[in-house]
Amino acid sequence: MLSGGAIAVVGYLDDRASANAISRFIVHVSAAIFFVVALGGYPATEWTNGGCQRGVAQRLVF
Amino acid sequence: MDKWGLPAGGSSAFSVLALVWGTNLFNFMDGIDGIAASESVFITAAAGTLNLMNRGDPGLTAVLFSLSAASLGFLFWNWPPARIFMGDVGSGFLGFIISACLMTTSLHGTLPIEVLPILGGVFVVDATTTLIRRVLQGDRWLEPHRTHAYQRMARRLGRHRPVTLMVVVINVDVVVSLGVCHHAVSRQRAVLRPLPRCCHWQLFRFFVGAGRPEAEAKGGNNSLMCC
Repeated sequence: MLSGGAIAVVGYLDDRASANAISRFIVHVSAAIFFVVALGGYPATEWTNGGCQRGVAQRLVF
Repeated sequence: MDKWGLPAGGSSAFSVLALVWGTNLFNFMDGIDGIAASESVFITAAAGTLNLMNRGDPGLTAVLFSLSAASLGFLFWNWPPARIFMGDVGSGFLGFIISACLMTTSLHGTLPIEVLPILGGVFVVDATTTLIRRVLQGDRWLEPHRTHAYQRMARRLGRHRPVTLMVVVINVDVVVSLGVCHHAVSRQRAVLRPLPRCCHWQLFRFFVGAGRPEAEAKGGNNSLMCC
């Protein structure tokens, strides 16, 4: 929610023409990094080994 | 090395890029009445339902359904001709929060990551191919433009409503396909069902020439300018 809030604020500034594309991009990247760090990274190996093994998810793609 | 053959930390770096792209996707595609709100309704409702059926995190399911309900309420006023607009505040926040929720569901293993671009297929196909085309043409791709497929179609038709309706139909198609997949037994059926949606939009994108130089889009409506 913190990351989303930061993006909403820079969007508001952009709507008011107070922010440029570069500053918006910097905020977007910072918010994304903050979120992924808060998530503890994105361990694709763990996802492959243990995560997507059941029910609907399994049948949808595999 | 992880599943995608990336070095350690590569998946996290890729997920940061995916989040940034997802955030900007809604911003790029929020150019005509009702298109971003309707896409948001379908993505969040479908992801919430799949998360629920897979016994995923109940909190995440609640967030997804809340987003869907809020987007549906907003869509009532945003449907063409719109009386309210979400602006960069709404589109940026919505794009980020939806991407973050979908990423978390795939991390929990309740939604495969391959399904995520299919759920947002209309936006992913249109915005990505337009951007790639503009970069290859040497256009100033950071600057606002109005060459997305949906913008060209809206200019040709002179109205927003048919284009938004078309997006809704494609979304219904994929939601039904995903529902059919839920009951599918054979591998072939499961893989093939969600594909038509992306194919539909690829065909439309091809016919309207998304990303072609701006000069070909003379006489357009300024309100369709991508921002």
